[in-house]
Amino acid sequence: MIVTILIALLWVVVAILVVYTVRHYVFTFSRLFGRHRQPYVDITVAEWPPVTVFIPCHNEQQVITGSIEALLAADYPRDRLTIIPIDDRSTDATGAILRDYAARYPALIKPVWRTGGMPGKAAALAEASARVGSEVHLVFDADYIPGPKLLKQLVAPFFDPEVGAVMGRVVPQNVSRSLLTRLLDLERAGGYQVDQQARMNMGLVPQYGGTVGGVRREALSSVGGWRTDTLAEDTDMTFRLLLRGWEVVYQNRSECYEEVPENWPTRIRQIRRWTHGHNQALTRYVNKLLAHPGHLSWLQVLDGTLLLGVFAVGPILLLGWMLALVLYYLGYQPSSSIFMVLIVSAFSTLGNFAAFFEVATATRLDGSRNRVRLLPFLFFGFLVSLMAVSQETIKQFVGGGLGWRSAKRWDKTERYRQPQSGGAGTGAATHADGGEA
Amino acid sequence: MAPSNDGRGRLLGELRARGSRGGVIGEHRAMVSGRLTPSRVLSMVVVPVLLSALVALSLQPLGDVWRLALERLIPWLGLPGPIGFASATPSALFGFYVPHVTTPAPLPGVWHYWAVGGICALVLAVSLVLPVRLMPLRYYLRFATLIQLSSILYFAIRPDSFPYALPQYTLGFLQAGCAVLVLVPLVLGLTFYPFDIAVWRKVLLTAMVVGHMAVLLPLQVALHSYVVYHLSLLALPTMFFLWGLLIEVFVFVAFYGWGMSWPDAARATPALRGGQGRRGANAEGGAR
Repeated sequence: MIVTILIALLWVVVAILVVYTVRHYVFTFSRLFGRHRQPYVDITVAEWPPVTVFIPCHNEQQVITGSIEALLAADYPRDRLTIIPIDDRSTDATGAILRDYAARYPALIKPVWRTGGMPGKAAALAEASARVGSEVHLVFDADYIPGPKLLKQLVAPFFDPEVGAVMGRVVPQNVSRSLLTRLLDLERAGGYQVDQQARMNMGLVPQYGGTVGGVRREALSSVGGWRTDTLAEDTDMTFRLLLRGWEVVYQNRSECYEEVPENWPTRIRQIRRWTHGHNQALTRYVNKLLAHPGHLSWLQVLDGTLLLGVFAVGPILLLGWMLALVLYYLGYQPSSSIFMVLIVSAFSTLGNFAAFFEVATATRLDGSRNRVRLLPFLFFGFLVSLMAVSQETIKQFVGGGLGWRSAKRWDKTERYRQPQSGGAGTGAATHADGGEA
Repeated sequence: MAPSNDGRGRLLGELRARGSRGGVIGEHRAMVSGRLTPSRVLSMVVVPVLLSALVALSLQPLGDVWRLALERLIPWLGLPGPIGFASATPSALFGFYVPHVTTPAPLPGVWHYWAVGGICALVLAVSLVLPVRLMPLRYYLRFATLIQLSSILYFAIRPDSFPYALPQYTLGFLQAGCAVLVLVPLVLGLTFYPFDIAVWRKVLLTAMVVGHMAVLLPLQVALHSYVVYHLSLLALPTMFFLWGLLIEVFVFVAFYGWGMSWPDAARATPALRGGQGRRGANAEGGAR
């Protein structure tokens, strides 16, 4: 009886893994051969709406200058652009750098200073966005460096009144630092170049990623603003918008460059944070999604459910390996086909569970011909991810019950860029436009 | 004379991609996509099926080669027992013989527990002192240790009821290997053949993967037999879970990654100056 139950469980695990593998195969084919949707990406002349760019900051002295300088060089009407860095209790030189920029560009850069209230990115966004009346709210992380055309590309999809949020592509900029950064580049490529674009092509559920993207103020208001009780306010926003009937658009052409973790401990902390937040979204929205709101197609419901479950697949795969081991000792050696599914699933990536062929396709499309040869090392990267995700999930659902680790502190990825000249205190900051001071 | 519609279309196509000094402007990577032509679809289906059939038909002679190899390897490793031969008949129309090792593996004795336990302790210690940058290796070693410890635990509780023997294991492993060899062309047909890579390169990669595995499989069997014979059945679960088909998948993914780094078959040609035209830096489809 017990053996029968274990075998049935193993089959369920294998079935889930097969569903995800097939899903990513379909995505890969859609990205390769499907018709691409990149709405309004070519618009350069239009009546551009007022836009506010939010940059939540907490001890960002190493990177904030680069981000603000890039935004100052952005191709967007100056009278319709406001940059709001939100300094949330920084203890380094971030505040001084922001004060310097605010003094030189008073009409353009209007920092928000937070000294009280709940800390964290979500709380910072919730507080600052409530004060702003711009039609479109864009959000960048402090280490992100946007290109000059990026703002218009991200704003253009909002000409469609059904669009509630837009997401651009995140590209690692410190790729050559270590094996880890190279593997993360493969992972990001799979996630954006294929996964997100395919979901966009197929009219499914592209994910708003919280950075390099924006939200329509009206949409934000309609779903109740940013939630402060989550560690993944982006995933949370995606599903609230989806359930309220707003469309989320992914713009593959809109690239922004970020720093990825350069060492494994930082990576593990990042994974655990994502896992926690994603699992929060899973428990909050999966039932509402499966109730099949009338405005969603069955394919959207299916894709949304699978998207909510991606961080649960790691522990499920681990369960599959454990079941295979137990059954092996009980004399029921898993068939080669079952075993192969378990093995092949270990050559995947975190966050979207993209299989190796999806990652290879994305990397080839990117033209990173040498990097794709690192494909077999995905196994080792995934092993670390698998353990980190499983530990966090078990701790979340078993260890701490369902009591959420709330976003009561800043929990962000380590920065590696050297502090740049041009910020406060250097006295050397000049901008091509001559500044507004 | 005015150009025909085809000629005009070709000219416009060239003009769209024409860069400075006759160079080629590559598409931005966000816009790059593939072309699913009828010939491509045909090559995705027909060539892999033919190659798969060829591999299947080669299994009989391959079994003979494996037997010859094992007949030399096993005595050279000092392992007793002749090489067995078992028939495999996946269908009524098709069958072949698969060799296997008949070396008996002992149940664990005190010495085996000490030896395997010592190796576990050593591996665990190594995993603890490895630098942080090798963290994935740490995890892998600990994972391997866990599986080995589960085996020690099993034999400590139920020493006489282990349901597997070395000869059956080697037979099952090579049979599974045969299935993998037949599947390789089909999997590559779905994952590698859709790309704009020359057909000869696709066939070459398929041949290399199959060839590599065909050589690797009997070597794995010999190595597993050697380890299990000397360390007893205690080592069999680790061989099965961590050093068995996982290695074949690793080999497949490694070759696949290499193949995916190969250039496109249809390169964009410079528009104005023939061979002298300057190609765009990313004319293969990777413009930044």
